[in-house]
Amino acid sequence: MFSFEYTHSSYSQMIEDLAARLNVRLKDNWLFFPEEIASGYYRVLQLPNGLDVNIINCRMNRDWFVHRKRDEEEYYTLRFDELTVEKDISIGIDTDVVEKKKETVAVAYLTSSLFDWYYLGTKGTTFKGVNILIPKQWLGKLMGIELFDDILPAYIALKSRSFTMEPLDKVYYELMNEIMQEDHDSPLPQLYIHNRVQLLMERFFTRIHSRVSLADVQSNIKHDDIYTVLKIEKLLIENFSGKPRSIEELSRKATMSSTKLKKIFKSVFGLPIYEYYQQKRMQRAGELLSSGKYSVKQVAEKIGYSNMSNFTNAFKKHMKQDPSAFSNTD
Amino acid sequence: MIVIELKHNYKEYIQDLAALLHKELKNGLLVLPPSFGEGYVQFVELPNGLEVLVSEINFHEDVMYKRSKSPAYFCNLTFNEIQLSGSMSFTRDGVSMEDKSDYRAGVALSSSLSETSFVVKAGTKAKTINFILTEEWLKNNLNFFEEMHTLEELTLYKNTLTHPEPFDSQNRILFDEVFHTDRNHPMHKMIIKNRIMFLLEHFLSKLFRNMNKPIGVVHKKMKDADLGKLMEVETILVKDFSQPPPTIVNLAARTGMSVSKLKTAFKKVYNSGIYEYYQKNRMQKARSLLLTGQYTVKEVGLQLGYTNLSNFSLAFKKEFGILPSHV
Repeated sequence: MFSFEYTHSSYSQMIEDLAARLNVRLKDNWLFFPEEIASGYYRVLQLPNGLDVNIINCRMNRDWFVHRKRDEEEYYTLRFDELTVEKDISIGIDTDVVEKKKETVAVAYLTSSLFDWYYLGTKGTTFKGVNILIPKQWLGKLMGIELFDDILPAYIALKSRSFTMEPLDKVYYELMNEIMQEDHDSPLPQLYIHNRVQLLMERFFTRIHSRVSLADVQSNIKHDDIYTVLKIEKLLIENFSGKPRSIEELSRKATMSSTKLKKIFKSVFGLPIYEYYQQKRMQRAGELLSSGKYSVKQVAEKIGYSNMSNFTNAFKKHMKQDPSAFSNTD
Repeated sequence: MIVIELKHNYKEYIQDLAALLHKELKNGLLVLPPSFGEGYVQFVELPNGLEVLVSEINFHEDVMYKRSKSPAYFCNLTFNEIQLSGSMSFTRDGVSMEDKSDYRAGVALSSSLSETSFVVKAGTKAKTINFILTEEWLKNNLNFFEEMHTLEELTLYKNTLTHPEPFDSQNRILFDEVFHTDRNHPMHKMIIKNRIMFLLEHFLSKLFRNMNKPIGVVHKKMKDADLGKLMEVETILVKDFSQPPPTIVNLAARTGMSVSKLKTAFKKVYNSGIYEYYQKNRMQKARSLLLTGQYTVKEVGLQLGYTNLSNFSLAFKKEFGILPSHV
């Protein structure tokens, strides 16, 4: 397994570290992978506006794991990735994990350095991606989209839910391909790539803006409040085996009134606190069942149900299927 | 007559202009006083550091713009659409010229190597996007800059100050988006900057392509007055897609050309037939409206004058290979 962990807020630093790890030489920030790891390249470029962009285009010749560890310094990564998966891949964002088998995952999404992020994939995966590193202050200042100060944290909070991962369509593909074309003779190479990266960003942010507004995220919520609510959400779902924490306890931890907490929680996560808790609880049950390691009864116990028929009913209500259909014991 | 000194630093220029007109500058925006005209001048700094002025002015007074020779080389690139009132007169290094056409919709290039002035008469309506391209920027960004001495030496852009190179459909689409994007759109600033950056890219790539063509192929000889008429026709065509386009007979009557002369001349300059040009721009407009994410396919179809949605979908697919619902 090839694994690489990082916390960098600078891609040029990161590519140097990666080159040192692989014992290869960089040329103008192009890194050609050694065959035993992957076939293809990874490159980093800095746009005239100061944004770091990385471009990857390769086929992995080994099982692989890339992990960005959470960082106190806040910045965003806007990812446009196309992963053609021969066996399987897990995409982890904070505590959420998405698993895909034998398919092409082609998505655009934004992650925040406040959460862990990783790809864990098998040999034979083809990985094409254009990623843009965006410092927190950048969006408002240079792009003039101050509105996002409030909307982005809420968006980030939604993490890997299908809501935030936008499938790549023809328009995105075209732009990505144009960026990846290795045309050294282009009369204006910088401007060409810069313009397409700008367009990728414009399109992505226009679309999340319209969708997040649709999702009724109140734009008058304060940034700090959203982060508080993110912390509360973690507390709420860290353990399902006992009784859930009371609203009183949560609002004490948040130093907010319970009315305010309930309101902001719902705006950010789209559901009232306990409904959200229950949904996550059932998702957890689904994950445990599909891992094939536990019986339905064991799973019920792990997530705090002593009565099996209560569990079965609750599970059916959320997942529209019987728990036994989820268990994967073959 | 108001006399304005042009500078190669737009930030300073707009500050001076604001002071001259006793107006305040807010976020780079100067709203003009009625004594000068109706409209605005907006300073824009592009993400790559280039300075741009975007303006839309209905002149109430004759204005003379002057630029003296500068020791540093820089280029002034202008995209404009102007409805002229009376003729527009120019002087370059002491030589006077005049543009007597009613309309200009095109690209012009000039440089600091010459001393230039021009007079815009009251009643003129102008939309312009001006770039300052410094020598340093050109050297760093154009792989081919060394191959030519200055941008102006290119045949295609010789004399474009008096006779602009007409817009092509790509220019036209980008140009219109700069002026038509809703100011309240949360991404307004970014969209404007991106369109301006693409105008520049399109201009420079075209320049590069044409540089390698033999002289004479690119430059199409045509009478100035006719070129002005064609630019007017082009502007009329793309103005409002919710209405059916004017007939060719009607357009010919407006220009005073015969139908066949108009068709041939249009094709020569714009490389496509009149309706083909109209339809192409209409579909581009559809695409950009859909890309904003603010309208449904139906709304876009209606805005572009399609009462039958399946006709719209088919036309769109013909142009881009995908259905509008997949944008």
